[in-house]
Amino acid sequence: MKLLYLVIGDIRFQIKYGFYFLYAVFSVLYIIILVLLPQNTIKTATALLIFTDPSVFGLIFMGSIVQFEITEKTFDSLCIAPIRPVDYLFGKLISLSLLSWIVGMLVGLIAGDIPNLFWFSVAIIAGSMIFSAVGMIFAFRTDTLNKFFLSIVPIMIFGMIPGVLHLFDILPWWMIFHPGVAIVEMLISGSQAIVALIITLLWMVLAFWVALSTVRNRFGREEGDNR
Amino acid sequence: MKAILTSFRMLLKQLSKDGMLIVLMFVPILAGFFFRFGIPYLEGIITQAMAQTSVLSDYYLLFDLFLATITPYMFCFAVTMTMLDEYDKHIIGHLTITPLTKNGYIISRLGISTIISFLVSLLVVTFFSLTEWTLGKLICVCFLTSVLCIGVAMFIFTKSRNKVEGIAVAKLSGIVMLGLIVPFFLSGNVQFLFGLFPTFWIARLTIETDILSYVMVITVSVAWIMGVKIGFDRKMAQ
Repeated sequence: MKLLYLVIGDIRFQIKYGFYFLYAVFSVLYIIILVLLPQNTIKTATALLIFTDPSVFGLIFMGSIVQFEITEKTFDSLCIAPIRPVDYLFGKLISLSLLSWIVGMLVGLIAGDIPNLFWFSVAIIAGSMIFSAVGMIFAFRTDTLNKFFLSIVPIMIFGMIPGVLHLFDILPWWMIFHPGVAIVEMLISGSQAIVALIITLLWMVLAFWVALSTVRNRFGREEGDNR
Repeated sequence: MKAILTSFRMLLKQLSKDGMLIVLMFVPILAGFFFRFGIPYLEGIITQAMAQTSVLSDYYLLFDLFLATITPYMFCFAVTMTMLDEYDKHIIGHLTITPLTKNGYIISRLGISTIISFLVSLLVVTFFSLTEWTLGKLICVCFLTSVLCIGVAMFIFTKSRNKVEGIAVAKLSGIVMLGLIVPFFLSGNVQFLFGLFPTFWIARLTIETDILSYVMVITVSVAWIMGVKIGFDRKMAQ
C-alpha cells in the first residue's frame, strides 16, 4: 500500500514538473517523424526512437528528481517516514517505467511497427527499470547536476551505442549479453528474444541490488543526521 | 569590466568544481575526432553490412552542422544549469545589486561564454569537418549557432522554476535542433513548415546559398531572441 502511495506521489510530481507534457510533445513529434519515413524503415526507426528515448529517459531524469528532493528536504522527510528504502526505489522505478511504457505504446501503436506487443512492452519496461536504477545509483553519488550528467555520459555511450548498432545487425552473437543489445533484441522481437529476456532479468537484478544498497546507505546516513 | 571578469571567473570556478570545465575543453575535440574518423569508419561497416554504396556519406554536411552546434549547445547547457543553481540559491538577486549590475551578470554568464563557444566551434569545424567549408560560410554558421544557443539558454532559464524543470525544458528545447535535419530529409514546400526554427534556415543556408535563406535566418533568429528576452528580463527582475 505504501508503495502504491509512493508511485502515485511520484506520478503527481512528474505531472507537476512537466514530464507528462514533455513526453506528450515528444510522442507527437515521434509520430510525425515515423509517418514521414519510408515504409521499409519504420520497424528499425520505431525501435531506434523507443530505445534511445522512452526506454532510457529515467537515467537522465533520475538525477534531477533525486537532487531536487534532497535540496527541498523532501528526502529528509521520507527518511523519518515509515517507508523502506526498497519502497522509495521501486516507487520511482515503477512511476518512470509507466511513463516510458505509455509513450512507447502510443508511438508504436499509432505510427510505428511493433512486431510483437508482448516483447515490445517487456523491452520498454525492462529498459526503463534498468536505466532508471542506474540513474538512481549515480544521483546519490553526486552532489550537483553537472556532476551527475558527467557521471552518466559513459553509461549513455557504452549502454546505448551497442544497442543502436544491433539494429543494423552488425554485432557478433555474444553481444546479446550486453543489456542494451538484449533490450533491442526484445524490442524488435528477434530470434533470441527469450535469451535476451533472461539476460535482461540478470542485469535488472544487478542494477536493483546496487541501487538498493546505495539508497539504503543514504537512508542510514540521513537517519543518523536526523538523530 | 573588472566586475564582469570577476563574475566570469566565479562561473569558471563553479564549472571547474563540477568537473564541467574539463568536459567543455575536451568534449568538442573528442566529438570532432569521432565525427571526423568514427563516422567514415562506421560508414564502411554499415555499407558493407547493408550491401549499399553509401548510407551516411550523403549526410556528411549534416554531421558537420551538428559539430558546429554541439560546442555552443554544451556551453549554453552548462552555463544555464549554473544560472538555475544561482537562481535557486538567490545569488543572482544579490549579484545584480552590486557594481556588476544585471547586464553585467548576463554578459559574464551568456555573453563571454558565447564568444568562447563561437571561437571553439570555429576551430573544431575547421579541423574536423567531413566536407569542404569556405571561410565565409564557416564564420556565418558558427556565429548563427552560437547566437541560437544564447536564445536556447535564455529560454531554458526563463521557463524553469528549478533544475528538474530545467532538464525537462532543455530536452524540449532540443526540438529546435530538428530544423537542422529537415532540409536533408524533406523536399518540396512541406519543409517550410519548419521555417520558424532558425536551425532550418541555418541548414538551408549551407545547402543553397540564396538571399532568402540569409534574410530568413537573421529575421527568425532576431525574432526568437526578442521573444525569449521579454520573459528572461521579467525573471531577472524578480
